[in-house]
Amino acid sequence: MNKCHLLKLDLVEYGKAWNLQKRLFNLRQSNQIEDVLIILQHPPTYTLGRRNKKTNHFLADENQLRNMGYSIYRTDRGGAATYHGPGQIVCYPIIGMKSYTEDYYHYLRMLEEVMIKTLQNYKIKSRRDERYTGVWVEKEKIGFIGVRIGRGVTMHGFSLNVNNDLLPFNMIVPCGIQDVMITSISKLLKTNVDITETTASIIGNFANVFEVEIQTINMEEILEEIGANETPQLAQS
Amino acid sequence: MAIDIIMPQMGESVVEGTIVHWLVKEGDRIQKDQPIVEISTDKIDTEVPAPTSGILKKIIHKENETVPVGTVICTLKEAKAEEVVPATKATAIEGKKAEKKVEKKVPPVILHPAELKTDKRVSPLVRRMAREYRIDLSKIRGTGIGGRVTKQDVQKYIKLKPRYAPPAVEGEVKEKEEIVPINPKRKIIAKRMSESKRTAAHVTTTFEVDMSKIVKFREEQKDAFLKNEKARLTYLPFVILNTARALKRYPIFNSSWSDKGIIVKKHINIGIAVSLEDGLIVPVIKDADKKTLVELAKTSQDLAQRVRNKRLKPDEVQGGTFTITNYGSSGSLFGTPIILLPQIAILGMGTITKKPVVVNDAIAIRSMMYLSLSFDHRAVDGAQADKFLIAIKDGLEDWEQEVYEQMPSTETGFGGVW
Repeated sequence: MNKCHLLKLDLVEYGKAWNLQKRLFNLRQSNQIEDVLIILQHPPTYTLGRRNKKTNHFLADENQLRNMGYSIYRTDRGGAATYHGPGQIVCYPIIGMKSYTEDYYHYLRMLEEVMIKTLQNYKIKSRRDERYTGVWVEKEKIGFIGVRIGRGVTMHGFSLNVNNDLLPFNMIVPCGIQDVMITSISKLLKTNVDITETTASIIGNFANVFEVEIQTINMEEILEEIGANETPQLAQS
Repeated sequence: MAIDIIMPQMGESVVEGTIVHWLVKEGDRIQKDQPIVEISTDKIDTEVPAPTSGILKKIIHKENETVPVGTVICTLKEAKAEEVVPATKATAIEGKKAEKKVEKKVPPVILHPAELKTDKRVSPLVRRMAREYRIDLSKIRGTGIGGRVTKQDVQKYIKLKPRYAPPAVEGEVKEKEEIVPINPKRKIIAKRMSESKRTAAHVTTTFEVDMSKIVKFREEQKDAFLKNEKARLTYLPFVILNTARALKRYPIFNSSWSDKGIIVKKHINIGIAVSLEDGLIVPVIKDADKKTLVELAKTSQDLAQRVRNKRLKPDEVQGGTFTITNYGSSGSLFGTPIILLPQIAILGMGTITKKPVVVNDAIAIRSMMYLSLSFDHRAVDGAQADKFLIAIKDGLEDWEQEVYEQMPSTETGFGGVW
């Protein structure tokens, strides 16, 4: 069984998490580290994929959004626009994909499966859509995917709405799909869900779907293992 | 030579991709495996690595263009010998002549005093290889990031090290010796086998399988089977059935190696090695995954029989995607079979013997069989191979549970029994 290191963080600013991802991505590509699953939350941030640069996925003025305290990043993942905020679990598997699947799109299906199984733990029945990657509960979208794969290694990943504020989604065209409704676990269950429970559930389901043994690590350990000395500063709250 | 680089197929369902960013310009010199273009589909961003070293001749599709999978997006001019870095060059040329030339003109190992830093960081794999082959890493010119010595560099270095030629075989025949002429079949086998050993990176992994359930099942059913199906029920179809299922689960083993990439096959066509007095023939069971145990038993027996009667049709030996060899039938415990190129793996089944084994901390007598999988380490790694073999093992060991799904319905006369 493959091992997968788990790097569980709290609330991390998007840019810092992105740098950390890129760093681990490069190390994984050169085989200096084993597979890592990063799990965290972001402060309110909009991110855009690079495809269809010309299309405007914002329904509001970008500067206005910045003034309102939202960060905006143009990233190197696939997919269109999405929103991250506290209460939404974000997972970045930095893994050698080929040990799990050869098909890039099957990898996406596996990520969906992790979310679908997690929702099942809450007795929420979710589904895939043939046309759009992601996870849906009836006609509302709850799970989002955008990845980058280079030299067989993955980065970026998926996000699942747990108890986050859904209003910021109204400012964008999420994933480039017009008129899509967004939901969260809390909204569906009409109660405030404990995000630490959901996090644990996602980790467990990730281990199941990818058939890996999860090993919790902290940043110092991983950096020690790779022989790096500078620790990336992670904003935690 | 110009090489077309195409928009890759990233998944079965993907039909097109968008060029996001060219990482190189026309006329740029490119190293093998260097990412040359970033591409994007609806949900995935990735990059296309150069299949070989060379010079980017022409960019056909510009940034932001979306093209169907398989479209040529640029052409690469494969570098001529003089144009490439020595280390890369050596592997591109084969044969004694080329090797000589390399040695004379551009020594494969260049000692750059300025670059001889012993503190250069290398991966644990490279360090281990250096230890195993007793290579001084500082003597290798690295082509990795920052001049780092990569696995490929070490491999090239090993390849180029002068080797001693095997002593020439004299054609002279001494007294009391006789020459057995090599028939065409033998010649083909000789060529294919040595070619496979030379090109594929053979590794064999072995698992022990408890066949007790199947042995019991077979003992109970074989007479009825012979009577009703006019075929003998051997252990082979059980192994074919479970191998076909494992191939479905791990399609990478149902593929072939090519310079363009690993071609994963849509159909599961399992070849069965059949030994003859004067050679070996591998007839193929087409779409083995769609056949029941009964069909597999009959087909494999029919093919084997027709091989021996020389009644095989040409297309019945073609299109194999995976091979099984049953040396157990001649009593062998386990072997390390040679892969039938361009396939990437071969399964060998040993003879079934009763053995004392530890079950729940008690010694029990079980019918055990060794399953060996030889695989091409260029295409897959040991962990994948083991997973694949475990899938076959589990299928065989848990036979009882799935008897009902596998057996034909009552119409064929087996109802009630299974």
